Amino acid sequence: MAFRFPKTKEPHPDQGAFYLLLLTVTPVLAPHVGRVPAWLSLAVATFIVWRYLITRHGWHAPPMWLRTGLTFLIAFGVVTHYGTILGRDAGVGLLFALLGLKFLELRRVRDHVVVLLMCYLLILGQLLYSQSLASGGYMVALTLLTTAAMVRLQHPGRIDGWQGLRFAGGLIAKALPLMLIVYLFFPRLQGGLWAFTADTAGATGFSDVLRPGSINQLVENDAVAFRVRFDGAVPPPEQRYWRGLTLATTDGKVWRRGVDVAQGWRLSGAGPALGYTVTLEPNHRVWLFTLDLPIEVDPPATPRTGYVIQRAKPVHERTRYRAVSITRYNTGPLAADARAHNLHLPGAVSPRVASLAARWQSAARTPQDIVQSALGYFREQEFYYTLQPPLLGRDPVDEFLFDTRRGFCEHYASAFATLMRAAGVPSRVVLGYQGGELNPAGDYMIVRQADAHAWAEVWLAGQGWRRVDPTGAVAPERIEHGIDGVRRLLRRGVRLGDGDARRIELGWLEQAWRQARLSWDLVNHNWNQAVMAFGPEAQEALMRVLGFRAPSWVHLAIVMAFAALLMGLLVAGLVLYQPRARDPVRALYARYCAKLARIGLRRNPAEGPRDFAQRAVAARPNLSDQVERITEIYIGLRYGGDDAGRLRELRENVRAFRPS
Amino acid sequence: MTSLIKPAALPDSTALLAEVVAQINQVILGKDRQVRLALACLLARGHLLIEDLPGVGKTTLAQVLARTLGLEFKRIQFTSDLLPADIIGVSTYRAGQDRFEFHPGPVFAPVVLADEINRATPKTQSALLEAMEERQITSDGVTHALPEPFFVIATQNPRHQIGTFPLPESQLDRFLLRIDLGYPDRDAERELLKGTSRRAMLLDLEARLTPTQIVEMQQAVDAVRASNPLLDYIQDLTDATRESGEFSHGLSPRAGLALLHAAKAWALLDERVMVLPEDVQTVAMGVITHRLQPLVDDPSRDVTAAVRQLLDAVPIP
Repeated sequence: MAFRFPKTKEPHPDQGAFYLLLLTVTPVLAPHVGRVPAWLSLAVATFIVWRYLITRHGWHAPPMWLRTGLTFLIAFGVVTHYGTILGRDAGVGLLFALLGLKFLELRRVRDHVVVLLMCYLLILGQLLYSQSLASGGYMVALTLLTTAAMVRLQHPGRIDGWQGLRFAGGLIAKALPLMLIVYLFFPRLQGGLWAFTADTAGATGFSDVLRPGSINQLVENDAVAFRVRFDGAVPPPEQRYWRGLTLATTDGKVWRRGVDVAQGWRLSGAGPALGYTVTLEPNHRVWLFTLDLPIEVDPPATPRTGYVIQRAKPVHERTRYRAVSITRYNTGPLAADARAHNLHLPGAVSPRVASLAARWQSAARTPQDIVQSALGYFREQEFYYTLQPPLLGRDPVDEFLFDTRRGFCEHYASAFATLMRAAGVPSRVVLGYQGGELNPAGDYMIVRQADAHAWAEVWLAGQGWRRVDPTGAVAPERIEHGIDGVRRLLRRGVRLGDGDARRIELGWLEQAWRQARLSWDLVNHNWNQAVMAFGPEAQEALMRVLGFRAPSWVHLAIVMAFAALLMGLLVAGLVLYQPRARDPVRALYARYCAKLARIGLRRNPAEGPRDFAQRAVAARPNLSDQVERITEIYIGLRYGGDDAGRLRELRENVRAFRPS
Repeated sequence: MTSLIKPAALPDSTALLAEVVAQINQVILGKDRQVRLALACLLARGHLLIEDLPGVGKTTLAQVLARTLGLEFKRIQFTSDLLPADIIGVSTYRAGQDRFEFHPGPVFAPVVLADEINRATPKTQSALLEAMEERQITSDGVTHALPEPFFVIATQNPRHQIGTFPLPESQLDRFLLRIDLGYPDRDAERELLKGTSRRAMLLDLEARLTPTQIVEMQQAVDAVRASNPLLDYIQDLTDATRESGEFSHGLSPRAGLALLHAAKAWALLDERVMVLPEDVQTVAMGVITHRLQPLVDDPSRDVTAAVRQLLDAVPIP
């Protein structure tokens, strides 16, 4: 006969435990709903509702065969959807599904425990997506809730939810020192612990290809691209062009990076240098953004064609760098091959474009005149700035210039650059960000994805590369007020394109909202700078402070273990050392004694309550009723083992006792 | 003393204690505290040591107690030639029945007055003290239980030490309480002079309690509640004697237990079901002082004063 485990009679948790679990699981699942496929969210939601109906309205629990079937079905679905069970998304998806399934078959205490343990895992999963302060706070709250549910589960019927929360809070508080130690000393991997999760699907910002529509999809994206703190004064809006990369190759529709060589560069006629520190949010790209034009970047990165800076590895984690830029510059002469490259146009320029360029070229004495003609053309013709440009067909430049005339920075920049090349002026498109919001509270500038911008550069003899922003000619508001102002104006139905900048006034609500947003950003910024920026370098510096000359991860592990042990002992000591709790009876009696002391009747510490009462009554016969009453209740509570119900009586009497 | 605490869950006989005290006080004038302490000692199943000069009423107190409580009373005058057998009894050979017969000594009385206990030899003293502790006598291999209740009142004269055998410390420990009677105050003494003979009064005294009631109350003493704060206080006191540096050695755990028992009995006398710190303080002098010795190198120090100081200094937790 085969061995069988004896069936233990494990208790069913009470309904309160179930509802607390429901209250925990829902917010744990919530942040992942947008990340897993919709059918999975729907399935898990169904399971939860079903389980709820079982408890609430006595529905039948799903039979074994159904649960098994559902499990296989869901697992199959997850594997098919992700194509794997490895990696961040598939892992979280699987956990999400399993939590829902386990919730459906909740019966005994151990099922509840399993669900709660899965909750912890899924809370951790949140870290793989966001490490922001808000997300961290949410995770802490969830951990607290989950722990409270666990505590509640282990003490059925004996504690309520609040006591569970308090207890869980105490537990978490005791774990805080350990958390701090692990934060400080856990060996940090170069490249970040979560670097493996980086995938291009999560890449934000633009790519190194400019095709119509590649920027305006960012317009509503208010995610922070980077933050800048200037050493000195903040440059005016018209100088806030954050250069990312230049595109010099075009096929008439799409602009690409083109010939790209690592090179040093030399600038002359440099104006005052602007120093600043950029904290770049992870964008999984290699480009570092600098103000036009950079002369120095620290830590060093590779300068490439077009005065752009490239990092060796994509930015998978928040990266900080210092840069120095000059706003007045002369890039000097252009080599013949480079000139040819920046003049190259594929044969397919439409006749209308060609003739327009030719007209300007013949009328101009200098290339500068050609640029002015083009800008004048944009300003005077019926061009409008819009975030919803009409679709363009086979020859987008031609259609845009002569038919639709509604576009966005990328349309203006690429059309302008194409026109310039057609007119014999070397030109290219620059991608980056324009503008930024100054946070007065923290004295730094926030540049968002929505600030993404495309502009053009032309090479002029004697001046070198010059920045020309045709968008500014059409809609000066874009440069003056930034993308935020433009969005605001467009929302009001204003047509942008008559060349006059409009003033933007904010209502008080908008002001307040803006203020709140900026304050929150400051908090986040500080969080990033102080907490998230603690990487391998900072850790090494800390170890040096502690006296390690060449710290390695072994040293870190030793220090961590030692500190954890020490902290563990300390916490254990604090927990075990319980100073004699000041019980309310004594406290109330002390209050009564203090009141009597105020009228000169001071109790000797070695004087018993009855002796003291007799002395007090002898001195103040008018107090006899109150004194005797209080003393009687006190004696009963303290020495007679009266039940705590009389405590209230004592409190009321002591409170009402006003000897005079 | 006005009772602030109403009696609860006490044997009915407790109410009679007030009468007992009142009756004794009619004979022993102006010694209410000592009378109560003596009663408390009895209720706590302890034995009493009265240390005082002759003629202040030690014997009278013992007799009054015995009569009022309705207990038989025996008095043993201790002398240097007193033998253990004079106390516990002898076995004599009954030729006809071919066996020894035990003739119980005076110790087989519920109330025994051992007068001037320090005049007897240590051997005789320890015979009594053993009986007090064991509450039984073993003679010729036969154990004879002593009556229940069993209460020994021993007296000793603290002065005139010539020709005496002072009780060693370990033996003193057998007495739960030591009290002194002292001279009566002026009014009481006048009353004594004017009034009828105490001896005559004794004969008129009625028994107020039965032995069963006494045993019942002795059991009730054990049930008197001593809360944790009170035990803290007793421990603080014993600790203080150990750490004060005034005494050659501090109180033993047995002394702490004695203090608790005496305090419980005092509380019962007050018709209370719980012990108060005041109870401990009241009985403390009687329980503690005879168990402590001054430091050997400074015998001039007064133990009583030191204990008094200690009681005033140890805060009530």
